[in-house]
Amino acid sequence: MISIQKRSAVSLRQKLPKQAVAILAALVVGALVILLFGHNPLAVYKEILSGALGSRYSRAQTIETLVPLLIMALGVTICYKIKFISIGTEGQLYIGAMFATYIALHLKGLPGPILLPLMLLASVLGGGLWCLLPAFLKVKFDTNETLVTLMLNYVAIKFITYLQYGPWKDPNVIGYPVIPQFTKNAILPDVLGIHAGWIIALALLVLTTVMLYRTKLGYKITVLGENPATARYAGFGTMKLTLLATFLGGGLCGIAGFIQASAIENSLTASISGNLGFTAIVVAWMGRLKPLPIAGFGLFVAVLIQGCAYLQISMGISHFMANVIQAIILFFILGSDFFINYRIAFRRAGEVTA
Amino acid sequence: MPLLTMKDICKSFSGVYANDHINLSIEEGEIHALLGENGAGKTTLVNILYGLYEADSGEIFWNGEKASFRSPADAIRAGIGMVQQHFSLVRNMTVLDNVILNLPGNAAFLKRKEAGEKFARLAAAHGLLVDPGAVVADLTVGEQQRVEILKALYRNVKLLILDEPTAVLTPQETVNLFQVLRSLAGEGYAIIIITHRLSEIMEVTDRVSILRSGRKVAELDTASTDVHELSRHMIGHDIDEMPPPDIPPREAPMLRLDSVSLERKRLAQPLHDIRFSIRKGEILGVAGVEGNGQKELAEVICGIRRHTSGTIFLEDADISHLGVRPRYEAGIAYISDDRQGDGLVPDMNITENLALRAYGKPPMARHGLVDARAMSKVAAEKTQEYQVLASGRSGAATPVRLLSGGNQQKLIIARELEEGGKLIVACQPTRGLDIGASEFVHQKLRAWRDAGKSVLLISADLEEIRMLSDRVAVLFGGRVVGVLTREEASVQALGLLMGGVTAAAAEGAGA
Repeated sequence: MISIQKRSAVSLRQKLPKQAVAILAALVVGALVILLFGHNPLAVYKEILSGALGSRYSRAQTIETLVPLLIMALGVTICYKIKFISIGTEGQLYIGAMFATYIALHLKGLPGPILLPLMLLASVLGGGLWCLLPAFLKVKFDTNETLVTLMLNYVAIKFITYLQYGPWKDPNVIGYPVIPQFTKNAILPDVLGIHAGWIIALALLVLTTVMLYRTKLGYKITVLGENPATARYAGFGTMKLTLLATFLGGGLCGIAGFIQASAIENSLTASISGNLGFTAIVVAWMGRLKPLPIAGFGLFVAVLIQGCAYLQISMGISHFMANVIQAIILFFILGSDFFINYRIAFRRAGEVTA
Repeated sequence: MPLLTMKDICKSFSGVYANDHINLSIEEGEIHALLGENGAGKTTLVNILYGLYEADSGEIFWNGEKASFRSPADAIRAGIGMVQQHFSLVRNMTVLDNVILNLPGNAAFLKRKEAGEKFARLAAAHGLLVDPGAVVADLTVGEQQRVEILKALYRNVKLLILDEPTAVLTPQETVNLFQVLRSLAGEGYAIIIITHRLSEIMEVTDRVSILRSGRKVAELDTASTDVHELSRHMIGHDIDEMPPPDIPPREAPMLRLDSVSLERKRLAQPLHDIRFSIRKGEILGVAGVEGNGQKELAEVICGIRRHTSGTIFLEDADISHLGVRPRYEAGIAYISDDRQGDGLVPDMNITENLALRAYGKPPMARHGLVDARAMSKVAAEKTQEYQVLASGRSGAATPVRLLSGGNQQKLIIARELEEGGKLIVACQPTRGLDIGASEFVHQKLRAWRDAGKSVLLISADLEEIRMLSDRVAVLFGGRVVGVLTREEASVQALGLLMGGVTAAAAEGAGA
């Protein structure tokens, strides 16, 4: 009989070689696929790197991809910490962006230093509420949060489209319906050549880390996620705690929406996420729900995304091909996780693990 | 020739004998009871027979031939069926599909019509009424049990094993089950029934084997015995007299339960009309066979479950409406019986687990921020004081799942026995501990009592109950069936109450 057993303790020394092997294996398999399509793997890998990091411009692009990716990965991490398996990052991003846009369009008379923080707060509220809805359904009616959050993504995106074609349509633009452009005071300024979202992302990285590891709230969240029975035993008020954690998690995703709308699109459209919401979920798991590794893997994935986009221009490789390479690499890294934390044991039939 | 003979069966788990040279033989048409306390070895024995465990030594003869069953599939093929305590039914499939699931004769296409006819024949013949088209999840527990029995009969078994079959049944369902068992025995089926309920043994069985600590201590004809003799064998002979209490309890009550009930749908064991009080400086033991409401009682007192009627007083203040946290603040601490289940967070470390109660107050936290250094300091002090030994070099950073049971238990006790506490609810506090660790726990509970505080000691270990308690309450079927003083709490008296034989009933049975 074959059984899968959890390893008792995993040291960094056991962990690192396996992760290195995984990345190496991914690159090798990726190379085979590239060969299959008639390209030189080494040249392709080189182009990915230079496309993502080769110039000042490409570095800025990579950082701008990293910002929403990191913020949303931190957001779902808070949800996952309490075993609330949300895949609603996209929807939360859009509703956050929608709330921020409402402020941007209706209070455009305010100066930037007041307007932007208001937009940020509104985006937290929007994303938070959008995550609170499935959380409420879960604690009250025991619904499956994964399904509900998935559905709510489509509801959110369709709702943005509705706003674009209906109530929020810019009356001054003739032809294709759009939501009005933000005024200058509603657009995040550049700092050191990159939009200020990177400062927000950095601040959130620090705040999330402190929250998870240094506050009472973080302690309670960890206990609730690791063993809900113990949380009840200690009287943590598990229902309220679940709602609070999911609100925070959704709120972070909402902030990513605010940044994308304000700094990248300067407006609201139904495509501001660029599917980064789903990628953020993968990044959160790659980083094993720990903020610093998440930042590291976030950067890695941002480089891949940016570099692969560049491949299309420089080598004429379809971006679908780029997706394949990305997927292979992610697959191996996530797969290595299994072998890091579990071992496969063979035992004779009849033996009993007491 | 007996249908089944088990000879000199031995089985040990990590050096402890669960079965120590057990002999058992069953005839066709016989209903045979296996009686014993928790951990006596009953379930281990039938699991060996059913192919779930392999015996270390000993032989099994089936129909006179030597047999060895390496899996339940083997046992079923030979003609041995078992209804386990936790049913193995697929909840969202129909009754009929459950019955024909994984039959050896199944081809790619199921012959449901044929199967349905055989099912109907069997069900009618034995009075096992269930709708074959119903989905299992919609059935009552009693009906699910009937499905399990039918599943076995469908496979043409000759011997049916039932593990605590009445634990989950209503009295009416129990009566029905016994009729079914009688009818099966009448047709030549042999039946092994595991139970701790003395009255049921008297009612339905032909013979009784009594196990204690892995040994078979007696085999009796039901017709020529009575509940007193059974309980004496089950519990063993009188243990040493209890040492006198160091300090007599005071009169003032610490905790009082006034007609407390916990009655909700889908509750494994409801509680009915519980009334008792614990005085200051008193240890009140709660004896009973596990699963008779112990966990529920502990959780109701601590506020983890809300009772549905009645009132709970702590030092004359009504605490019925308070949640877990405020009750803890008011002085109620709780040693859970399930260390890894709810008492600890197995994947978190010693320091973090010790902080579970006090994480939010100085010195561990200030202004919402947790002070890791203060936590470590508290952890260092507590592990020293309570002699928690962490293996390896990681010390207080060791995940608690790597600690031994004894050390895990010390950790919980170190956390729960706080200065400001008044009452500790100690649920099976020494289960699985070695003698040294058990003594340590006992000593701590005694010191707590001697300091004028109170202990509710819930334990399945009668020796422990009798050694520590000033008074003993007995739980049976979610009711307190008796509260005995130290002097009255003889092993016999407790044994009868634990088997559900109250004073009035015992007189009737004895006559």
